[in-house]
Amino acid sequence: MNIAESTINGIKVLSLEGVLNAASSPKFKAYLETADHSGPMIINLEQVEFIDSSGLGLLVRLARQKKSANEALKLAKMNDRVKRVFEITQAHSLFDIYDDIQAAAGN
Amino acid sequence: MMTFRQLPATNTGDHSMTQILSATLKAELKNSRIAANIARSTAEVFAEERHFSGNVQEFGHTFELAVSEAFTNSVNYRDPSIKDITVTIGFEEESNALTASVTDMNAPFNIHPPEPEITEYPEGGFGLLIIWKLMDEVSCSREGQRNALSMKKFISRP
Repeated sequence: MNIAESTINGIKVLSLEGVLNAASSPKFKAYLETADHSGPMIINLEQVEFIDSSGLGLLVRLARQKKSANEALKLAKMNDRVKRVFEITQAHSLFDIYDDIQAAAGN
Repeated sequence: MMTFRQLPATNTGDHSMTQILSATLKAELKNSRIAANIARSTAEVFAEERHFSGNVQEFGHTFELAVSEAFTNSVNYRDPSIKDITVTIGFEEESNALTASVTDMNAPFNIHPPEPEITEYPEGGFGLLIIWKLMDEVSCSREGQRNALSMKKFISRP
Protein backbone atom coordinates (compact mmCIF):
# COMPACT_ATOMS: atom_id res chain seq x y z
CA MET A 1 0.00 0.00 0.00
CA ASN A 2 1.23 3.49 -0.84
CA ILE A 3 0.41 6.68 1.03
CA ALA A 4 0.78 10.11 -0.55
CA GLU A 5 0.28 13.43 1.18
CA SER A 6 -0.89 16.65 -0.39
CA THR A 7 -2.73 19.78 0.69
CA ILE A 8 -5.80 21.49 -0.68
CA ASN A 9 -7.14 24.69 0.81
CA GLY A 10 -4.87 24.11 3.80
CA ILE A 11 -6.38 20.69 4.45
CA LYS A 12 -4.14 17.63 4.48
CA VAL A 13 -5.12 15.01 1.92
CA LEU A 14 -3.93 11.43 2.37
CA SER A 15 -4.23 9.47 -0.83
CA LEU A 16 -4.13 5.73 -0.24
CA GLU A 17 -3.32 3.28 -3.00
CA GLY A 18 -3.50 -0.49 -3.15
CA VAL A 19 -4.69 -3.01 -0.59
CA LEU A 20 -5.61 -2.07 2.97
CA ASN A 21 -5.83 -5.35 4.86
CA ALA A 22 -4.02 -7.34 7.55
CA ALA A 23 -0.84 -7.44 5.47
CA SER A 24 -0.65 -3.69 4.89
CA SER A 25 -2.45 -2.21 7.89
CA PRO A 26 0.68 -2.24 10.11
CA LYS A 27 2.32 0.15 7.66
CA PHE A 28 -0.66 2.48 7.68
CA LYS A 29 -0.95 2.24 11.46
CA ALA A 30 2.71 3.14 11.89
CA TYR A 31 2.32 6.06 9.52
CA LEU A 32 -0.64 7.40 11.48
CA GLU A 33 1.18 7.03 14.79
CA THR A 34 4.53 8.51 13.83
CA ALA A 35 3.61 11.62 11.86
CA ASP A 36 1.77 14.74 13.00
CA HIS A 37 -1.75 14.45 11.65
CA SER A 38 -3.40 17.20 13.63
CA GLY A 39 -5.94 19.38 11.88
CA PRO A 40 -8.65 18.58 9.37
CA MET A 41 -7.96 15.74 6.98
CA ILE A 42 -9.32 14.24 3.79
CA ILE A 43 -8.61 10.64 2.87
CA ASN A 44 -8.73 9.92 -0.84
CA LEU A 45 -9.74 6.29 -1.34
CA GLU A 46 -9.97 6.31 -5.13
CA GLN A 47 -6.97 4.03 -5.64
CA VAL A 48 -7.78 1.58 -2.85
CA GLU A 49 -8.50 -1.66 -4.66
CA PHE A 50 -9.37 -3.68 -1.56
CA ILE A 51 -10.15 -2.98 2.08
CA ASP A 52 -11.20 -5.36 4.83
CA SER A 53 -11.91 -5.03 8.54
CA SER A 54 -8.23 -4.49 9.34
CA GLY A 55 -8.12 -1.36 7.23
CA LEU A 56 -11.59 -0.30 8.24
CA GLY A 57 -10.65 -0.53 11.92
CA LEU A 58 -7.77 1.89 11.42
CA LEU A 59 -10.00 4.41 9.68
CA VAL A 60 -12.57 4.11 12.47
CA ARG A 61 -9.82 4.66 15.03
CA LEU A 62 -8.71 7.77 13.14
CA ALA A 63 -12.31 8.98 13.01
CA ARG A 64 -12.61 8.58 16.77
CA GLN A 65 -9.38 10.51 17.32
CA LYS A 66 -10.51 13.31 15.04
CA LYS A 67 -13.89 13.46 16.73
CA SER A 68 -12.23 13.71 20.15
CA ALA A 69 -10.03 16.52 18.87
CA ASN A 70 -13.03 18.22 17.26
CA GLU A 71 -11.28 18.03 13.88
CA ALA A 72 -12.86 17.12 10.57
CA LEU A 73 -12.13 13.83 8.84
CA LYS A 74 -13.64 13.36 5.41
CA LEU A 75 -13.48 10.41 3.04
CA ALA A 76 -13.53 10.97 -0.68
CA LYS A 77 -13.80 9.05 -3.93
CA MET A 78 -14.78 5.64 -2.60
CA ASN A 79 -15.07 3.03 -5.31
CA ASP A 80 -17.86 0.45 -5.17
CA ARG A 81 -15.76 -2.24 -3.49
CA VAL A 82 -14.69 0.09 -0.69
CA LYS A 83 -18.16 1.56 -0.32
CA ARG A 84 -19.63 -1.92 0.07
CA VAL A 85 -17.48 -2.62 3.14
CA PHE A 86 -18.47 0.66 4.78
CA GLU A 87 -22.14 0.05 4.10
CA ILE A 88 -22.42 -3.53 5.32
CA THR A 89 -20.68 -2.60 8.57
CA GLN A 90 -22.61 0.67 8.94
CA ALA A 91 -19.25 2.41 9.30
CA HIS A 92 -20.29 4.91 6.64
CA SER A 93 -22.41 6.54 9.36
CA LEU A 94 -19.23 7.62 11.17
CA PHE A 95 -17.77 9.61 8.30
CA ASP A 96 -18.51 12.53 6.04
CA ILE A 97 -18.19 10.98 2.60
CA TYR A 98 -17.76 12.90 -0.65
CA ASP A 99 -17.62 11.96 -4.28
CA ASP A 100 -14.63 14.18 -5.01
CA ILE A 101 -11.79 15.96 -3.28
CA GLN A 102 -12.92 19.47 -4.17
CA ALA A 103 -16.28 18.91 -2.53
CA ALA A 104 -14.61 17.46 0.55
CA ALA A 105 -12.37 20.51 0.73
CA GLY A 106 -15.38 22.74 0.68
CA ASN A 107 -14.92 24.27 -2.75
CA MET B 1 -10.73 -28.93 -16.25
CA MET B 2 -10.21 -25.92 -14.06
CA THR B 3 -8.74 -22.87 -15.67
CA PHE B 4 -7.53 -19.73 -13.98
CA ARG B 5 -7.13 -16.33 -15.47
CA GLN B 6 -4.52 -15.68 -12.85
CA LEU B 7 -3.23 -17.45 -9.79
CA PRO B 8 -0.81 -16.15 -7.21
CA ALA B 9 2.68 -17.52 -7.57
CA THR B 10 3.07 -20.88 -5.86
CA ASN B 11 6.74 -20.81 -5.03
CA THR B 12 7.01 -17.83 -2.72
CA GLY B 13 7.65 -19.98 0.33
CA ASP B 14 4.53 -18.59 1.94
CA HIS B 15 2.33 -21.43 0.87
CA SER B 16 2.14 -24.63 -1.12
CA MET B 17 -0.68 -25.70 -3.34
CA THR B 18 -1.66 -29.15 -2.21
CA GLN B 19 -4.55 -30.10 -4.43
CA ILE B 20 -6.22 -28.81 -7.55
CA LEU B 21 -9.22 -30.69 -8.92
CA SER B 22 -11.89 -29.72 -11.41
CA ALA B 23 -14.15 -27.87 -8.99
CA THR B 24 -12.16 -28.03 -5.81
CA LEU B 25 -9.11 -26.20 -4.64
CA LYS B 26 -7.22 -26.57 -1.41
CA ALA B 27 -4.16 -24.59 -0.40
CA GLU B 28 -2.06 -24.60 2.71
CA LEU B 29 -0.73 -21.19 3.70
CA LYS B 30 1.52 -19.94 6.44
CA ASN B 31 -0.45 -18.38 9.26
CA SER B 32 0.94 -14.93 8.54
CA ARG B 33 -0.37 -11.52 7.61
CA ILE B 34 1.51 -11.56 4.30
CA ALA B 35 -0.25 -14.76 3.26
CA ALA B 36 -3.59 -12.96 3.64
CA ASN B 37 -3.00 -11.50 0.18
CA ILE B 38 -2.62 -14.97 -1.32
CA ALA B 39 -5.78 -16.18 0.41
CA ARG B 40 -7.92 -13.28 -0.75
CA SER B 41 -6.71 -13.21 -4.34
CA THR B 42 -7.10 -16.97 -4.69
CA ALA B 43 -10.66 -16.68 -3.40
CA GLU B 44 -11.48 -13.89 -5.83
CA VAL B 45 -10.19 -15.75 -8.87
CA PHE B 46 -11.82 -19.06 -7.93
CA ALA B 47 -15.20 -17.39 -7.34
CA GLU B 48 -15.12 -15.30 -10.51
CA GLU B 49 -14.30 -18.38 -12.57
CA ARG B 50 -17.33 -20.17 -11.18
CA HIS B 51 -19.98 -17.51 -11.36
CA PHE B 52 -22.27 -17.75 -14.33
CA SER B 53 -24.75 -14.92 -14.05
CA GLY B 54 -25.15 -11.56 -12.41
CA ASN B 55 -22.27 -9.38 -11.34
CA VAL B 56 -19.13 -11.50 -11.61
CA GLN B 57 -16.88 -8.89 -10.03
CA GLU B 58 -19.19 -8.51 -7.04
CA PHE B 59 -19.34 -12.28 -6.59
CA GLY B 60 -15.55 -12.46 -6.69
CA HIS B 61 -15.29 -9.60 -4.21
CA THR B 62 -17.72 -11.38 -1.89
CA PHE B 63 -15.43 -14.40 -1.59
CA GLU B 64 -12.28 -12.29 -1.59
CA LEU B 65 -13.60 -10.30 1.36
CA ALA B 66 -15.06 -13.23 3.30
CA VAL B 67 -11.93 -15.35 2.96
CA SER B 68 -9.76 -12.37 3.82
CA GLU B 69 -11.72 -11.87 7.03
CA ALA B 70 -11.63 -15.54 7.98
CA PHE B 71 -7.93 -15.83 7.24
CA THR B 72 -7.16 -12.65 9.19
CA ASN B 73 -9.05 -14.04 12.17
CA SER B 74 -6.86 -17.13 12.00
CA VAL B 75 -3.74 -14.96 11.98
CA ASN B 76 -4.92 -12.67 14.77
CA TYR B 77 -5.82 -15.52 17.12
CA ARG B 78 -2.98 -17.92 16.38
CA ASP B 79 -0.93 -19.42 19.16
CA PRO B 80 2.40 -17.55 18.94
CA SER B 81 4.19 -20.37 20.74
CA ILE B 82 3.67 -22.71 17.79
CA LYS B 83 6.05 -22.15 14.88
CA ASP B 84 5.38 -22.95 11.25
CA ILE B 85 1.65 -23.14 11.85
CA THR B 86 -0.49 -23.25 8.75
CA VAL B 87 -4.00 -22.33 7.67
CA THR B 88 -5.77 -24.34 5.00
CA ILE B 89 -8.13 -22.58 2.64
CA GLY B 90 -10.47 -24.62 0.51
CA PHE B 91 -13.04 -23.99 -2.20
CA GLU B 92 -15.70 -26.33 -3.49
CA GLU B 93 -18.20 -25.84 -6.24
CA GLU B 94 -21.56 -27.57 -5.93
CA SER B 95 -24.43 -27.48 -8.38
CA ASN B 96 -26.04 -24.50 -6.72
CA ALA B 97 -23.40 -23.03 -4.42
CA LEU B 98 -19.79 -22.18 -3.87
CA THR B 99 -18.27 -22.90 -0.48
CA ALA B 100 -15.05 -21.55 0.96
CA SER B 101 -13.49 -22.97 4.07
CA VAL B 102 -10.70 -21.78 6.34
CA THR B 103 -9.20 -24.32 8.72
CA ASP B 104 -6.74 -23.44 11.46
CA MET B 105 -5.27 -24.86 14.65
CA ASN B 106 -6.44 -22.08 16.93
CA ALA B 107 -8.60 -22.34 20.02
CA PRO B 108 -12.35 -22.67 19.43
CA PHE B 109 -14.19 -19.42 18.89
CA ASN B 110 -17.74 -18.12 18.86
CA ILE B 111 -19.04 -17.50 15.35
CA HIS B 112 -21.96 -15.50 16.78
CA PRO B 113 -20.23 -12.65 18.59
CA PRO B 114 -22.25 -9.55 19.41
CA GLU B 115 -22.25 -7.01 16.63
CA PRO B 116 -20.00 -4.04 17.29
CA GLU B 117 -21.85 -0.94 18.44
CA ILE B 118 -21.02 1.38 15.60
CA THR B 119 -21.79 4.59 17.49
CA GLU B 120 -18.94 3.76 19.85
CA TYR B 121 -16.41 3.84 17.01
CA PRO B 122 -15.22 0.23 17.44
CA GLU B 123 -11.88 -0.66 15.88
CA GLY B 124 -12.58 -4.38 15.85
CA GLY B 125 -15.35 -6.91 15.66
CA PHE B 126 -16.15 -6.32 12.00
CA GLY B 127 -14.63 -9.51 10.59
CA LEU B 128 -17.31 -12.05 11.40
CA LEU B 129 -20.00 -9.42 10.89
CA ILE B 130 -18.80 -8.98 7.31
CA ILE B 131 -18.74 -12.74 6.74
CA TRP B 132 -22.31 -13.13 8.01
CA LYS B 133 -23.51 -10.20 5.90
CA LEU B 134 -21.92 -11.56 2.72
CA MET B 135 -22.60 -15.26 2.95
CA ASP B 136 -25.80 -17.32 2.82
CA GLU B 137 -24.63 -19.98 5.27
CA VAL B 138 -21.82 -19.87 7.82
CA SER B 139 -20.83 -22.67 10.16
CA CYS B 140 -17.84 -23.77 12.16
CA SER B 141 -16.93 -27.28 13.21
CA ARG B 142 -14.23 -28.57 15.50
CA GLU B 143 -12.19 -31.32 13.89
CA GLY B 144 -9.70 -32.60 16.44
CA GLN B 145 -7.52 -29.62 17.25
CA ARG B 146 -8.69 -27.64 14.24
CA ASN B 147 -11.44 -25.12 13.55
CA ALA B 148 -13.09 -25.46 10.16
CA LEU B 149 -15.03 -22.35 9.21
CA SER B 150 -17.32 -22.95 6.24
CA MET B 151 -18.88 -20.13 4.20
CA LYS B 152 -21.43 -20.87 1.49
CA LYS B 153 -22.93 -18.65 -1.19
CA PHE B 154 -25.65 -19.90 -3.46
CA ILE B 155 -25.17 -19.41 -7.18
CA SER B 156 -27.79 -18.35 -9.68
CA ARG B 157 -27.52 -20.53 -12.78
CA PRO B 158 -28.80 -19.28 -16.11
